[in-house]
Amino acid sequence: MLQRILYIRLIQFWRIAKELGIIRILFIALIATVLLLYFYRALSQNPNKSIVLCCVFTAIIHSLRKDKKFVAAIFEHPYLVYFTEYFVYALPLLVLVASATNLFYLILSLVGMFLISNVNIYNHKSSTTSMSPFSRLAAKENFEWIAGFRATGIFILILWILALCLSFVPYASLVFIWIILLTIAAFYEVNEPLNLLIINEYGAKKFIKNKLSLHIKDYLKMIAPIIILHGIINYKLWYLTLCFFVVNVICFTTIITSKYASYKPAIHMKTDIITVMIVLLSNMFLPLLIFTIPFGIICYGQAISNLNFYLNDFD
Amino acid sequence: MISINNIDVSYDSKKVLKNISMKMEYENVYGIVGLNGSGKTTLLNAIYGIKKIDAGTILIDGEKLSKRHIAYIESENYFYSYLKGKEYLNLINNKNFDADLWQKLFNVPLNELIDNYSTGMKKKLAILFGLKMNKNIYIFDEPFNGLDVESTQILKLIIKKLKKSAKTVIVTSHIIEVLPDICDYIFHINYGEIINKYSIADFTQMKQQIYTTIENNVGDLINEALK
Repeated sequence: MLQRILYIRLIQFWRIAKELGIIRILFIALIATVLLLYFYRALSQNPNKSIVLCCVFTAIIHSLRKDKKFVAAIFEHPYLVYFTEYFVYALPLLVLVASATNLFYLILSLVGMFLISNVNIYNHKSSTTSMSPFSRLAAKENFEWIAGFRATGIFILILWILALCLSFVPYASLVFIWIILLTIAAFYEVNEPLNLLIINEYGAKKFIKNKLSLHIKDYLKMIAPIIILHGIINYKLWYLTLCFFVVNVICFTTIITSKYASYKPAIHMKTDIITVMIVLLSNMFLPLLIFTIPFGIICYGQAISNLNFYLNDFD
Repeated sequence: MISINNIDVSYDSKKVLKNISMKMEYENVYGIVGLNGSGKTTLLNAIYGIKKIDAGTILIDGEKLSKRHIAYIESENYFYSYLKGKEYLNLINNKNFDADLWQKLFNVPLNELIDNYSTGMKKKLAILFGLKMNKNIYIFDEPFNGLDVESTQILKLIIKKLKKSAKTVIVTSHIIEVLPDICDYIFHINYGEIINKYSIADFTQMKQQIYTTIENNVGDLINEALK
């Protein structure tokens, strides 16, 4: 049975790999290599981190997986299935732990992973999930933000407060804004159903214009206080703050247009997450703007042409 | 009047609707019946304009039919995660729509997250969304799927009321028994072709014909499988 589920996972990975294409796979491999090298260095200096790393890795996957009820219904010992899967996924990490630390830390990491696999978390979405005060900033038509804040509002609120509190540390607030944008980008991973797309009966151009102005307005309401405070306190870095702000908004706009460039009703965009990551990185590594700006322009054109199919009745 | 004139629709090179022609008047309810895969949903998608037609025209009072005229309640209902029923309905502006009244009627927990709704509740929410759009033409694709007896009856009454308020309603259902209660005419579609149009007087005959056809097609197989 275990072999069968691992075989199913292998087939799923193969399908995802085919969808991603060779360039994106190479890009992910590059990022993974850089991260592994970084972790190797960190673990060599502090072996205790290996347990934290393996546990965090397992906890993220375990809390995000949506097939727990299915696995529990099929298998007598679902926790064994979870642990086996996480063990396979974490193999590169475990090899790293073994080579950077010693057997003791490897065993402790495995014990930590096993314990987390036994935690019974179901993905029941509670309507009482608290929304951060930012949800009040969002316009009532901004369903992406209303839903997004319900899912991750508290996390964003903490980041926002940290960003304000650390304004006196040069660049710290900007890094937090970047993490906030990273979180908000996830709001645009799911395409809305067709009935929400046509709700205002706008043609494609008007739709994109309205969407961008509504969302940029809400985004500015949220980040403006941080940018202004950072700019005032670190007034010598005003040009860098301004530059970061402009690029940040360009990245935000590109994320929205890229969603509609490949829009199909009610579909989760699996493959475009990688492109979105490159766009987001360009806010921190400016040379990547060479990719982001033309990509944003192309996405705008593609979004108009793609949405025309669904919205041509409203021109 | 809606006129569908000789439309062809295909997926890749396979023609799934062949030379379909239909006329539909205001203040009438039209049913479309057919077996699974006969082309019912493709026909509705073509009418709504989300499936390109290869040939023919779809007109309303002589002009091109557009999404502006139609509220389409699809058979598969997708909702945006982490939204409450009320927030979802509030996305449409219609001051005459009293969400609380509809909540009482349909017993939908509008203050709960849609993610936690049952199949029937999601269907009811999709119907409410369609009704709030307030269009002249309503298309319901398998609206009775997942509904309990009470909600099925309520929906039938709503469809009759829509008809009285001069709307055109198109309904598909694989539960043939439901359609005669609400429809003025029923089109029978088979392998992408309209093979018959029945009026109220012929509904009993239609049911008998469909059942006989099915029995003729599968009777021997059932006998063989259960021998």
